[in-house]
Amino acid sequence: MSGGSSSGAAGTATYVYGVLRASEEPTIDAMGVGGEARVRSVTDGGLTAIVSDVDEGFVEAGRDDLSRHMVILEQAALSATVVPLRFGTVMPDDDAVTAELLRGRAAELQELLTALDGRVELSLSGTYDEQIFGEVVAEQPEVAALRERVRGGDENATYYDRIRLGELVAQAMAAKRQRDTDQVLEKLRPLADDVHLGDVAHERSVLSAAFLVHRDRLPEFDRAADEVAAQNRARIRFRYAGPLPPYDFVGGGKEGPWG
Amino acid sequence: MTTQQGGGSLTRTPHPSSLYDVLDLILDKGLVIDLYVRVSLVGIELLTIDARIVIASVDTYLRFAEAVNRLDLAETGGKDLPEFIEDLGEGGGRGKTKGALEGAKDSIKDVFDGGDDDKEKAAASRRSRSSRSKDDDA
Repeated sequence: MSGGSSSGAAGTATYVYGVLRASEEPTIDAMGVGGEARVRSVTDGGLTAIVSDVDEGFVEAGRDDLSRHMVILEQAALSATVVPLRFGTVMPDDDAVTAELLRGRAAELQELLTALDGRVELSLSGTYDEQIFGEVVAEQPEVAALRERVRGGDENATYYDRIRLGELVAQAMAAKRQRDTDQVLEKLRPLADDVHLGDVAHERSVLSAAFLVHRDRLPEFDRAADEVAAQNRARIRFRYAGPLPPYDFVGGGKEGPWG
Repeated sequence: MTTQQGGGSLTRTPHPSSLYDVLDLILDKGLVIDLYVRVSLVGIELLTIDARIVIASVDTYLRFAEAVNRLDLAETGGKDLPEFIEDLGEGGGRGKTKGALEGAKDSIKDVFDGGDDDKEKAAASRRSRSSRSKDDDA
């Protein structure tokens, strides 16, 4: 990555990935979103924007672009504190990046960089194993009884019983989800500066959590996450990723101040 | 990819391995610079509308009921519930899916098939539905 060419040539616009302190500028050797230009940087007043040229008419991105966006920010986050921008941010040219982002929002960016200093995001999500339904049947006599009643019965005749059964299972699952999420958070929240819980995406999802964690605490957090996974080994499958740029902690959510 | 073998070891990966988790991580996140978010991901609506399951619905209740009914309590349960997240998480190669989720899963895969950064995953996803043609399952 280099300061390199100023864009603004006819037909070209500037895709912006994120902002970091100029003193922490990372080396990123990658093709940018759109796949036609290398990642470079625009620096002003101690702030650096990670950018690449894209075609002016570039409005639709695909899977490769999503992946490029993610990996470029990820590389930056390996060593620097990064404020990630929303996927798909394109400014007319480098001058606009300087004027409207690096200068125009300098105070806000500096504030975010100070708040996030040295911190990264860790993503932890969990999904119940199929056997969770066995747990529900074993724990809930009413579920077990209803199950016996509708099992092998006529589909139409048992319709309302099946809905009732499923509703009871859904309630039991919600209670389990709450309990298990609390248990995970109890262990991990003390090691994080902030936590953001995402929506439950799947019937057997337990949680989808983003933790803001200082780099220095990564080993400690890894150990704690590993313990949580070990405790739930037979029933929950966890997915754990990072260090990521703090996507969830820059106020970009739909309800956030910038949304 | 996360594994839980042996001592329950949890592997931290550089970024989420499933496409669903990638989308969940990135979309609608990040600082917004007013007026300048103009590139959209093709198919994003399909994902957010179809893949977000309404947990409290009759359909979900019936699927839950089916799941506990088919459960053989002596052994470990069957594999009849939708598993689209697992499918994505394992590169799309593992799965069977049924019912309502099939459409959502295929929509997600259609969006992402053909990526040059992860040919293996795309190929696995094609294999997983090899019994059907690509266009007849919308």
